[in-house]
Amino acid sequence: MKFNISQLTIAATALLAAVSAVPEAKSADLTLDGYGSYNLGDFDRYYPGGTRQGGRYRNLGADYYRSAEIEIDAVQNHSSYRSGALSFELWAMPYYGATSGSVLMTNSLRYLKAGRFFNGVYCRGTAISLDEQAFPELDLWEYTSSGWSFRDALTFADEEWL
Amino acid sequence: MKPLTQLACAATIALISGGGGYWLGKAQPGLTRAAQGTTGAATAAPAATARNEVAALSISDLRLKLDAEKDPLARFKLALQHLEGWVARNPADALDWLVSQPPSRRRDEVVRMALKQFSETDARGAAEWAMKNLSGGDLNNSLIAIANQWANENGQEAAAWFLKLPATRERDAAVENMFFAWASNEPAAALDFIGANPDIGTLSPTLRRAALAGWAKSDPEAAVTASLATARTLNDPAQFANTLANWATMDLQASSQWLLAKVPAGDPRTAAARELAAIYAQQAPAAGVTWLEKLAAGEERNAAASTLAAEWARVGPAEAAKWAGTQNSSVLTPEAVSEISQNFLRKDPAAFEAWRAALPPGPTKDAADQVGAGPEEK
Repeated sequence: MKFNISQLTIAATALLAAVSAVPEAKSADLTLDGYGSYNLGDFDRYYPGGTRQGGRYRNLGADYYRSAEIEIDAVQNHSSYRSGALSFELWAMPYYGATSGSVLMTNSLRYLKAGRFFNGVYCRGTAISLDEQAFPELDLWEYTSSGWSFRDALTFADEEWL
Repeated sequence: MKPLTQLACAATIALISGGGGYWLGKAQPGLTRAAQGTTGAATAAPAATARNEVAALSISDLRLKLDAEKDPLARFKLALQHLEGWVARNPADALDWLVSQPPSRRRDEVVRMALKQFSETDARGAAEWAMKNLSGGDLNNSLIAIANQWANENGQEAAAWFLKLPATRERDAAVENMFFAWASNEPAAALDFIGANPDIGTLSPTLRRAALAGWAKSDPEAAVTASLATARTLNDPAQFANTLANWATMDLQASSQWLLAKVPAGDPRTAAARELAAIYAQQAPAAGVTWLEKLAAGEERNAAASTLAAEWARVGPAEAAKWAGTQNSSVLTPEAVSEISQNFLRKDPAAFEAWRAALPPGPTKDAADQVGAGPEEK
């Protein structure tokens, strides 16, 4: 259920540290492992200047936003070299198995050393409230010498109101 | 700061806020989604009034007045007073003027609303403007929204226009979303367009997949039947598997029954069985185990079982491991056992070690023995 913005305010905002994106010459073999989940707040609010994001984007523009949490058991670097800076994101895909969709929230993660993993990755912030049915997806991107590159995704098989 | 300066600042802020509020207040009902569909009539009157204001003051006169106004705050206020009508009559001109103003949250808000109004009357113009003025995630999401709206009005025109643009990540995202939306309403037209335009090139498989997924939303059985035929012609079993998976997200039982009843053993059926196994793992792993028994013994069932077990281990590693331990050692691939082991180890190291120790010698135990915790990044 959606509410008029004049009736409601949103409580949570994210104060995500802006990690400088450190490019790596090589692209790392990175995966999202284990159980992943997302949690979206019930109330949305229009943010004329967008909200602060991290990782790949600093801002996604003026839109309705709501509080959001995304988490994954682990982010693993299987390569024998350090990764670039990472962006852990929430997307809304038009259909199951789509290769692109609307970006709802981006969060920065620092680089991973060779063969290392982050355990229990949890990010809280604000995500665009699309007000549409779509397939949620968690995405991992890496900053390389040729810019941001897609690395892995966890797609949820249930279409949700995002 | 001197009191006089403070007063002047307060007055200019009030002027800007008041002017912005005037226009935004009128635009708001169209953007307040709770009110959509119920307040259409209520928004018509103020919009008509605003347009009349611009009709009384022509756009060229307005531009002359704006140019003559040297105070930037007064200039912005004057523009806001006429903006809705200005956007209705010449949206690109209004948007260009807006982005030429000093950046502010208020300006960005007005730009977004004006762009929405623009896309409702002229999707092509709105897309052109967005391409020229937006970037990053904002451009990605705006183009998708415009493309979806355009697809519902005229998919043919939207496809032709987008595909002439230079290939970028944002362009490709808009096109993929657009073909999904178009085919949800006009599947034959969308698929014919892809077939008749070989210059789409490497994007063809993605667009065909999107169109078939859109079709599956409105008529799943027709979509999977058509997808199977195309997959055979183009030797693309993954495409068929994806179309069936999109039906499965709506009706897992019907789609899996259809697969077994209608599709003979072979690559398309094996690929589709793997997709269904992944969905079973997320939605109903126990039912997935029962469903596996209906698959053809050998590669088809083993591939589906490996996918089911590996994906199941994401949500229930102990249950998936327990089931995997009961399988004949030739059923699961080493990669699947590795996935199960890593998930189990991460969730409950002691239980994982006990499970691994109890495995009988063979490929499953060998694969499980390869798994270690590895160094964690703190």
